[in-house]
Amino acid sequence: MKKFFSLLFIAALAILLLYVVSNMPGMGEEDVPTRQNVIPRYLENAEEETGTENVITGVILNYRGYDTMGEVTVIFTGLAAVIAIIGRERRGKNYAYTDLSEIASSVIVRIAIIFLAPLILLFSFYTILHGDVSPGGGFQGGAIIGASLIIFTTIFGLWESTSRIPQKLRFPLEGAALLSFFSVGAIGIIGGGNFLTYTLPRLTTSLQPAVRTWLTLLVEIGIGVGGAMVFISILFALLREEGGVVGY
Amino acid sequence: MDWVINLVLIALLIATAVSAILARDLLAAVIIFSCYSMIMALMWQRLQAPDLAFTEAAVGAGVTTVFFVITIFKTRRKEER
Amino acid sequence: MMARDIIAGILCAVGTFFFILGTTGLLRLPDVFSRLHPSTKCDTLGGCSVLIGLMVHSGFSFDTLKLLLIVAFLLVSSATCGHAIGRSAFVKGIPIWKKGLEREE
Repeated sequence: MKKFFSLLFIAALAILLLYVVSNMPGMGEEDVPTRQNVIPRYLENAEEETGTENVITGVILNYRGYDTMGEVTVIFTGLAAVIAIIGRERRGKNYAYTDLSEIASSVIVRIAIIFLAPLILLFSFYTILHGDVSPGGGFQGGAIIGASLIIFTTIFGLWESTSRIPQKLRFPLEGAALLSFFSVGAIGIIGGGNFLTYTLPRLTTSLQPAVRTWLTLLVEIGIGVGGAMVFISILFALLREEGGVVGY
Repeated sequence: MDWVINLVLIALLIATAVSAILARDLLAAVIIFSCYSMIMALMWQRLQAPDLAFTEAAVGAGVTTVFFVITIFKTRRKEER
Repeated sequence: MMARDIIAGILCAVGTFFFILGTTGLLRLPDVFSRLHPSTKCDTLGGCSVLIGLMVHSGFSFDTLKLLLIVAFLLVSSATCGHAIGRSAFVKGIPIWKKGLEREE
């Protein structure tokens, strides 16, 4: 009986939602409000106003800079929550399950990772630094850095990774990444513009494009490094075994 | 010809989503979910949003899957009935 | 122009054929080790055939280099994945399909 009512409720909800969707304007039609105001403006003026060839990067970092700032804050809040529940790593040696296991990792896989991981890292740097021209950007590149370090950690063990990227290094990098976003925003105010606008009216006009490019790049690198460090810190926190006791 | 590919992708998307919910084995559910993310990345690419496709492929199919697998490894693999 | 399209079509068809074979083997074969055989080898061959077909189709441009890189990464990563899965299945002691081993009297 309970199941019947829940099914009925789901069916009613589905019919309601489908009815609403059928009344929505179709995708890509001419008379949608966003197509008349926002999209033409972005497509026509973005390259000129934001200085980025890739319009999406311009929208994310410039027009919708506040949204991106909120998203970055959410990611770091997530990291803070994970660390608060699981706890940071100790001083001395940190082990994962794979470090304590008697079976060594395969030589073939190790050689393949040594071959692949640097190339993945190279691609991630390309994605971050080329974000204003081609698809990609800070967060995507950060996720790819995280992925390459994750495959390194799963094969070579937590102890190798934490000794290469210790907490001493990750703490300041995470802070600096978040701070770079806000400080670039503040530079906008100091330069006579608004918060998170990359134009500085107090400077001479000839310097403007270069400054804008460099500030955009700084924010991209900040988001990328911050995202990568967040992924890596969550991975290390999840992998760490308490007191060297083998779980599972 | 385009609508055939779109239809196949949407059908696969729904199939993977439903089977990820129905799977009793949580590891299987995680792997199916990473397949879902990969198909979603293809959908974003077909909708001409390469930036989103990038994010979905890197975060959804790569990083999240590893996190889920580690969490399952540390807790319990089968869903309780 | 025509010959290039025909060669590309044949290569893509061969690749798709091997993909179908690999998927069928993955679904039909009995245990982990025999399933690894079609799923890695046929996927490598099928994927490389499709990508080489696309290289022929696109002609000589910058895309060709990208597709060549994808072929190289596919060869490395697919073979390594197969090895890792087989090794961990062996270490974990997942049972082999015994039916073919016994002599039928």
